[in-house]
Amino acid sequence: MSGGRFLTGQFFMMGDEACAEGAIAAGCRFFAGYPITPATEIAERMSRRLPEVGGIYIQMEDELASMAAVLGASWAGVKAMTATSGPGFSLMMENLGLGIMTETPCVVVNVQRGAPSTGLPTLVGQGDMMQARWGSHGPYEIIALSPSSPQELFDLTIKAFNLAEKYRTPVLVMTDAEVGHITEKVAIPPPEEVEIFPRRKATVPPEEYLPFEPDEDCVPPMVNFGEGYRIHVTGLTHDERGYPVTDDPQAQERLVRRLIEKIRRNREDIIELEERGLDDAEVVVLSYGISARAALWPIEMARREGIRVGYLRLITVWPFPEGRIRELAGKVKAFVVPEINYGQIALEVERCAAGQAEVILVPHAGGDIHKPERVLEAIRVGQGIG
Amino acid sequence: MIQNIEASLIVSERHPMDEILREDRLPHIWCPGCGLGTALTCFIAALHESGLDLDKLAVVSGIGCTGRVAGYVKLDSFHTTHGRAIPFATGLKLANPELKVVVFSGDGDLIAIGGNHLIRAARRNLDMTVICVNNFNYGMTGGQVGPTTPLGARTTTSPYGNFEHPFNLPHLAAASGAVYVARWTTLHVRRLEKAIGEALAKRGFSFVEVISPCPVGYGRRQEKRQREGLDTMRYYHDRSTIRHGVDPKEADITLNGEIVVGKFVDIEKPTFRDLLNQTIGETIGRERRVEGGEWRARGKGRRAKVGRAEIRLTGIGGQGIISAGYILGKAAAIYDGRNTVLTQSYGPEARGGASTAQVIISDEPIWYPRLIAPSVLTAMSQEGWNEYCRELGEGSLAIIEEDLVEPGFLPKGARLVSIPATRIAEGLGRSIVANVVMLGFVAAVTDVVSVEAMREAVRTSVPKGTEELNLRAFERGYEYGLKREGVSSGEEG
Repeated sequence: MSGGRFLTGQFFMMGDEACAEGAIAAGCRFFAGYPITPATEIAERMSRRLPEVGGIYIQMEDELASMAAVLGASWAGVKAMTATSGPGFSLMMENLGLGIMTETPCVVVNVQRGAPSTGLPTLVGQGDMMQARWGSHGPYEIIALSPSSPQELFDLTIKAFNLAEKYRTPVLVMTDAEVGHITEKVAIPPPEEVEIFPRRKATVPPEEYLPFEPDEDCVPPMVNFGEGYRIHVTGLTHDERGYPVTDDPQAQERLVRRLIEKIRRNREDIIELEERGLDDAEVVVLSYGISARAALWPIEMARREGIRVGYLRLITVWPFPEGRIRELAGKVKAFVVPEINYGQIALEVERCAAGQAEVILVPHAGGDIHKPERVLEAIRVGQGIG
Repeated sequence: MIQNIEASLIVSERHPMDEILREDRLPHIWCPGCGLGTALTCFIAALHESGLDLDKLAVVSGIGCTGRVAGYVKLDSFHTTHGRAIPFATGLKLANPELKVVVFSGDGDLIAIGGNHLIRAARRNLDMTVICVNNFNYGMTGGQVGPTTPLGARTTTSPYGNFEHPFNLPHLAAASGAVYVARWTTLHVRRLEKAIGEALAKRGFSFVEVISPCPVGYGRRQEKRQREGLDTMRYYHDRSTIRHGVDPKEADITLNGEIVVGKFVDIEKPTFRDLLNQTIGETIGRERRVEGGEWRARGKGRRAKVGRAEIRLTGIGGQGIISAGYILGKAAAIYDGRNTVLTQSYGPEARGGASTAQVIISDEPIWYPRLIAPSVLTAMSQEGWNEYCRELGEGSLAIIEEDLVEPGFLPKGARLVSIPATRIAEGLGRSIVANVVMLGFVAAVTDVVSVEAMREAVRTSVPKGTEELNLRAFERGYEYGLKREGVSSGEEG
């Protein structure tokens, strides 16, 4: 497209910038955020690009406000996003829960850095993976994607928006300082080649509409504020009308179970994995994001040593691909799980492997990626089992 | 028989406010004597009078007794988390400017936990109306001290009397930038209704404080007891004074003291949206530099396969090290069509700290994004050289800015070439292009990237209007490299 409104072409682009471009390609026209390393480049690019495509950028007073504004924009009918890193992600947790409870489509990007607390602002970490899963209070399911290159940050940001609309839920893009700050070639297709899942709009007139009555796949069609439906939306437990019901455990059961079921029942559709060499594998390196990508080198070394090692990369981290891991656990000796934390996803792998295969965590406190030798050594240990 | 007729008459006569109330949610949860019913009635009456399109009206509440207002109005309404009604409303209003957005919440929600958002929305002059019902305590949780509790007042968490200075809300809103500020009590129903009407009609951030009885949570605990709502209403009657236009800082509220009510602020000021449109409108449409890109990949560059080349560029912040890395990487990735990874590191200083860019170029996919064995080190600062020169190995090439770096030590098997890049750049009139002179030199003395690709990358990456200068700088560095080496750039880097 001309005039620089929509970019199409091959670019040498930083991951964070590719994320912003993915959002714009997906139709995101509202960004509310607060500056934080290493996610600031996303906000900077959105502040420049959104006005060019008729969108709104607003720098809020903090991350609590950013998340709230994103939900507000979504109910106005505009695709909305925020981007942050650990400390800001912590502040967003309460309103993330509001987004889940009110079934508000939106995207939250977390460019993870070294932590806990202020930690290592400019350096890599993957320590927020369980926070992504459980960080807001209460029982719920969440969708989280983990890109491992700038190109994938572009692609998965689009996918995140599509899943958010399809399942009416906030979707997390759990990237990290490494992927966010790498600059690589990013191919941006022409707008007509970008697949967009539009908002699931109600087709019945206002008097027949129940805002939280689900379709067959557990997801209720939506209306935007200002369309004459005059609906009430609350973070309290509510019935199909959207009215608070705070004294009835059955209403709680019905609502919360549906919020969980709409993700669980549609796992097959949501989960995306990258698999290499699993057919004959005795050891599987299972990882995500930058740690998965970097592990391909030690995997190559191990293969040269004659070790039958395969590769399973979680592009979708949540919901967790339990089925595939259970299946593999029956066939392989060990899973090697490098991650830049002290064991988060490894615990899930252990749960699914259920003693059928060993799980070897390759931990890292953060600030750097794994040295290939450490992963190679773990693969050798896995090979030696049994 | 007569009774039946009367009954049917009553059923058929709907109250004009029923249209805006969610009757199926009544009765409401508010206590006898509470002022919230009155505040809501005034709001609905003002809506009736306003002539606003109610399909385009949204009510946003936070948490607390007042927070329940959103649930009782038959309008698009959102009951948010505690304190976050205003930022939610901010997103709603900005994403759809056609909506009229009203935030209706309490003093604890808007002023304590949400206080930061209130002052920000007022500062930005966002086009919204905030109705804050102030009952001087946290009613829903049973009467705790809050941000507006007067000094000396007793609550369940100030059992000896409150010893924190309270906020004066009109003063806070006005000082933060609100264009309309009024305060009334629930005794002043007609004036309150009128004020809400004025606030709704106002462009920009309007704020109406509604002083309201809370006999159960607050009134009954005070020394001069206000056991019933009516006691409090009597107090409002006796002690409130209408003073329109008074400086709101003179409207402090004290325990059992005078309550100054009235319209304090009514001014005109551009809204957030006005200023946004003005600023963006003036800028967008002007000719701007937009990165060019080509959708179909170009063919591979002309150079032979390089396997994996690893280049480190080091210097200090402000020398354009990261830009140089970007141009080099872009040349390889986009114009030579190779797999390329650029990473960078710099200190917390914006200027003057160490700055390093790493470029990996390979014909194989680059999984591991760190340098393993650097083949080229380009140093434009002594610190950078000292830090990284030891990682050079057999067959590697060191390139230094000869006026800025004294090599001293060179690892065995590494070769060294040098260029006075800054002096050459100064010869062109701009020392700032020394980084591009350096790139020209790199293109001449290494084989990592084709010179055509580099020229293209320089042209498309530098600020608009400086292309010619930068290309000249590039050529000077390139020529210097060819002369210096005396051989073509085919030599292994």
